[in-house]
Amino acid sequence: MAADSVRDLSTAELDAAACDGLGLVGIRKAYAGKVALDGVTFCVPRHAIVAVLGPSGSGKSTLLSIIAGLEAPDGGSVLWEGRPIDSLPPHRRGFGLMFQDYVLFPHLNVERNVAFGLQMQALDEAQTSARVRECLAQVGLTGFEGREVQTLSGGEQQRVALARALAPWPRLLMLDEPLGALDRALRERLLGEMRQVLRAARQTALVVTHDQEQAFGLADRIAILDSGRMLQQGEPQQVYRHPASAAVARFLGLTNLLAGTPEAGGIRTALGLVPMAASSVQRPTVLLRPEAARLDGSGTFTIDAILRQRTFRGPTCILEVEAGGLRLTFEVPSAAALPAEGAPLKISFDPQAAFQVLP
Amino acid sequence: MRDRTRLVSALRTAGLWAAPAAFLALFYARPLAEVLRLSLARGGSLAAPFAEALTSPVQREIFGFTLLQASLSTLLTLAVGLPGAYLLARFEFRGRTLIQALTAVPFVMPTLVVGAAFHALLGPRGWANLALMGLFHLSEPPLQVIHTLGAILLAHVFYNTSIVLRLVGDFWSHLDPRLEAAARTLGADRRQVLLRVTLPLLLPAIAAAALLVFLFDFTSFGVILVLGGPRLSTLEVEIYNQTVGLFNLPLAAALSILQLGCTLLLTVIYTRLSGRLSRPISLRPRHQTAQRLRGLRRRLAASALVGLLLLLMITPLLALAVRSFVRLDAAAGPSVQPREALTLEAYRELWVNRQGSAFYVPPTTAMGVSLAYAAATVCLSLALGLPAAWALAYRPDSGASRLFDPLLLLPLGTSAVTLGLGFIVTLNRPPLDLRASPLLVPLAHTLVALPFVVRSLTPALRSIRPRLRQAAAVLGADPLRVVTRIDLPLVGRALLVAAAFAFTISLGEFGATALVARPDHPTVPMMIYRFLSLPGALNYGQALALSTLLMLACAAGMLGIERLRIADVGEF
Repeated sequence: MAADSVRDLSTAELDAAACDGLGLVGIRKAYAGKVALDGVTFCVPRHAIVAVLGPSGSGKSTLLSIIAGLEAPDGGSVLWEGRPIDSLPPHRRGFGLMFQDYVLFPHLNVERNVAFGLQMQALDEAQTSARVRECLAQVGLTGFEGREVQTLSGGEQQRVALARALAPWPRLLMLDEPLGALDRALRERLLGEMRQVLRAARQTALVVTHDQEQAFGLADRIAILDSGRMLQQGEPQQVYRHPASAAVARFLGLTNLLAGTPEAGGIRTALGLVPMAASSVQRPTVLLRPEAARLDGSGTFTIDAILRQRTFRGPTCILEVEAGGLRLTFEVPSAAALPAEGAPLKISFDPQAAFQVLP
Repeated sequence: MRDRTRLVSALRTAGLWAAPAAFLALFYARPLAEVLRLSLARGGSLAAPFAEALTSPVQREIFGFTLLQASLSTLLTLAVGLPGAYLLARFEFRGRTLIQALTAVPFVMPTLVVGAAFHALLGPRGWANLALMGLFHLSEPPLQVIHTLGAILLAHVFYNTSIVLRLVGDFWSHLDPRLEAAARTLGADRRQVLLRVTLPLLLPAIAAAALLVFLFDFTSFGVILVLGGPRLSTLEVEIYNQTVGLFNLPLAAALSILQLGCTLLLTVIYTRLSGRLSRPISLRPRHQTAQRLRGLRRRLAASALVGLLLLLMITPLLALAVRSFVRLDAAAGPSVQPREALTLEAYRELWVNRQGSAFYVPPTTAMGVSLAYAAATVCLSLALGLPAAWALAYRPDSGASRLFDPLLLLPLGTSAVTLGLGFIVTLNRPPLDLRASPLLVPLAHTLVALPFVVRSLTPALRSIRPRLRQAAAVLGADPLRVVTRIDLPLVGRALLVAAAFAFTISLGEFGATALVARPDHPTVPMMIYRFLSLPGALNYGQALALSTLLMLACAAGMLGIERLRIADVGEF
């Protein structure tokens, strides 16, 4: 810490230090020489829901353990309302954590699971059972008090875990892959429910997940974590519209990435000269947005492609095409008339909307 | 058609159980029934022996002492074993596997070896007293531990700590540590986590370990006989004395029934409790639950604990081994120390046939007898245990399996001396007159070994998922090849483990052997007991030398078991 306080803090670190909720400043952690977190800095403002999005092994669970106080960081600081709380043990932080596969206490029934955190606060019997009932009602499990946790379905366990984490009024609620263990249909239903519950309680929350749908569906802000580093933070739409790097784009499912060289009048790529403002980057990557394809020829930039595969997705259709020796993926409205697989296809774009330069 | 296949299946299960069931009926149920009959009828007055067993002040004192020493031993064992289980289960450090293997060794040590080992460490001619006498120039041994309650407690802790380490440690090492983390994030401090989450979840394992330890302490025989001396006696020793010393078979039988009633009561309480206590818990592999030892305080505490465990569980055995190579020359004067000299004399003497006494049997004969009995026990217990384990693994829901599963464990809770007594009063007349048969001892040993054999085979058989066989069959293996290529390789190790168990148990068994073995064909433990009861340095030396050899044989067996046990099989 001494070394850190001497070092000048970056703007991002100063912002995080001034955060009115949870601030993380330069968190570092390594296991047996392998770096898990490499200077993670960000802020979860009061009453906001922030999602940390990252592939498995990106350090998400380590991050939660450090914030909860279950593990100590090698460097950096965890702050609450601008004050470091690194020396506080987990049970004095007032942070809740909902584990990936819920980790309900098998020796306690639903009521006593939810009451556990309240009993730790030495709340009296009447207040405790009132709060338990209230939380169970919030997650739609009224009447489940006496049930043994082994008799619950996966979705019910998830809700008990949420109620248990919410019950002691945590200052911050952390959710580790909150819907990871459930099947798709249930996941979509619970996602909406969970957002409602968190919003209604104005709960400050931090969600970590590898699933962009969950992150976009739950959070006000998302932060992209990869190999222990924060790559980008912002509102979900903004991050999706303007990925800061090829790595972020790839992780968000934006896979049409073209290597380019700057030239007079644009950037030369495998698809030809793309008319763009000059880039300061030596070897820029050009992102071709998948939703920008037009099949009616109305765009000003046209490519000749061969349709390799089309996948019907209901309202939209996913096209995999080959053009300029590359495999590209586009999403078009299902209503569009499509040639057979293996047939040639002309695709046009509005270059302003379709192409983005990534560093 | 349906009914027919069901009938065939039921007949097959019955076929698997036929031999084990017949064995239990002939050599467990019938002898015990005979003991019961004997205890109820003497001289016309029904239940007179019972009246004596329950009302005589001597017997009541013995009963009280039996309970006292068993309770104290169990509490002490838990006090040592639970911190040890925590350390070995939850932490990863250098030497952990070695310590785990070493602390498993005492469990298979024959009681007579343990008695001799504590003699060698704490006895009047033991290392502790020799060191103190040398240090303070004393002429008398200052430590009078042998023949006190303290010695018995120490030996019981030595013995049974490995049970706590194994049963509680195994469970603990697979308990999800995130349950504790969840409690911490809900505001529980370390003490609350321990009291409200960890201990309640561990309770079934702790209760099982405590009950098993109590049962072993309650029916402990060799340890009390050697370390308790003439004044301290338990039910088990008293049964032996009444049988062998006083030929009061009815009273011995009444005491046996009293003891059996106690052990049965405990077992019933336990099964009731375990049903209520145990929760289906999702277990996790050990590598996900263990953490490294960090911080000076933790490391110091861990070192102290490991030191205590090794002191309690390994030093007596080391003391025994070293002491067997040392001769003490008689002191020339009261203040002069006995001179110590390294010698193989005690070992050489084992091979010398001294013809002085007509009753004399050379120790080499005893070794041969012990090995032969052990080999017979291995064959018998595998022949009976394999079909039983097969039925338990593959037809667990059939009526026969449900009936025999708990019955198989009964011999474990029955005192060995009672079993021996039952053999004496039953198998001495037609239709089964085995008095002179060399099979008598292996039969008794098989009764003791069978629960261990079945318990180590069943999980291994169960672990062969039917899908593996189906996969082999789909790949073109005929039923015979499925057995030779899939079943045998997977069960082979478990078979070796079971054989090693049976072998070491037979080598060390003393309680039943003391009653049923013929005096002219003594086993090694009987020989050790004889040498220990005789005066003179040479006899003492031979007792220690024989004990050391027996200890090495059993330790080799146990380490073999540890090596061959397929990791984590049987624990999930």
